[in-house]
Amino acid sequence: MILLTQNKKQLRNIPNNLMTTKLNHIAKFKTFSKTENLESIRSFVFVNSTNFGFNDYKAEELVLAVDEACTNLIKHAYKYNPEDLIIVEINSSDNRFIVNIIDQSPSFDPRFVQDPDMIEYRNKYKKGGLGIFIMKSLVDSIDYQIINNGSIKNILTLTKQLS
Amino acid sequence: MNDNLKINSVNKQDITCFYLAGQLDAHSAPLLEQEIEKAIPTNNKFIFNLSNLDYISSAGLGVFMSFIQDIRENNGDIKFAELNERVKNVMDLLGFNYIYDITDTEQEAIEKYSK
Repeated sequence: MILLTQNKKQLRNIPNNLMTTKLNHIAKFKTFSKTENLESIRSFVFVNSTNFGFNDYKAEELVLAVDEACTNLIKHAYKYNPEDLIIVEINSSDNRFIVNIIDQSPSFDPRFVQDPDMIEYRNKYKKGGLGIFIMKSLVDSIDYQIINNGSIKNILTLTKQLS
Repeated sequence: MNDNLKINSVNKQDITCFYLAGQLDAHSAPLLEQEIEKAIPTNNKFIFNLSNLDYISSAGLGVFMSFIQDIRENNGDIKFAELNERVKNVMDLLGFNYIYDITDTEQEAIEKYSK
């Protein structure tokens, strides 16, 4: 098993080694990699994050972050193959809300993607490449693990702290 | 089927006003692309009234970015009006206010075209 738990930037000194902390499982949602399923994924994240205690504004930030991650999987990793699976799993640890997005596509660690040059983006009217930037902006930390137990499984972990 | 986004358009003088309702994400973005493509041969001044748009992701914002250069090169523009808080927050995050005119009311957007 390969574990990559290094964080590109630790925004609020959140310990990122989740393997050593006690996790409470909250809910799990498994769906096919299709854009029409994004709405259900968003509802799933919104309901669980507001139940956890986030206000609507913070819950919507989480919803958008997860949407961007799943959209990238559907478009770029799974290349619109509707038979591939996306699993969104929600756990908590103390006041941290932890979303695992699990896929079996070729691994792609978004933490190492450089932030876009926003000036260039505006001047050149760039169309894409902003999903990861949005995702990073809306959560407190991002982790990425590649698990190889015969078959590859990627786990992107988005963590947001309830303040 | 794209049932999470409804698009209506009304021509007001030489401006096409689009009314978007629902959710603009990776699923509904292609539908909006088609509608803008249909409108472009006859017009290049657009206002998007987003008062009933509940949600937008980067896939939705990308649609506007993909058309704006051509539209401006033909002396046209895209302006946004009546954003709700949720959509405004996402646009602010990406600095859309530096690229586009964003007005509180549709009338203000129309007036900006006559200046």
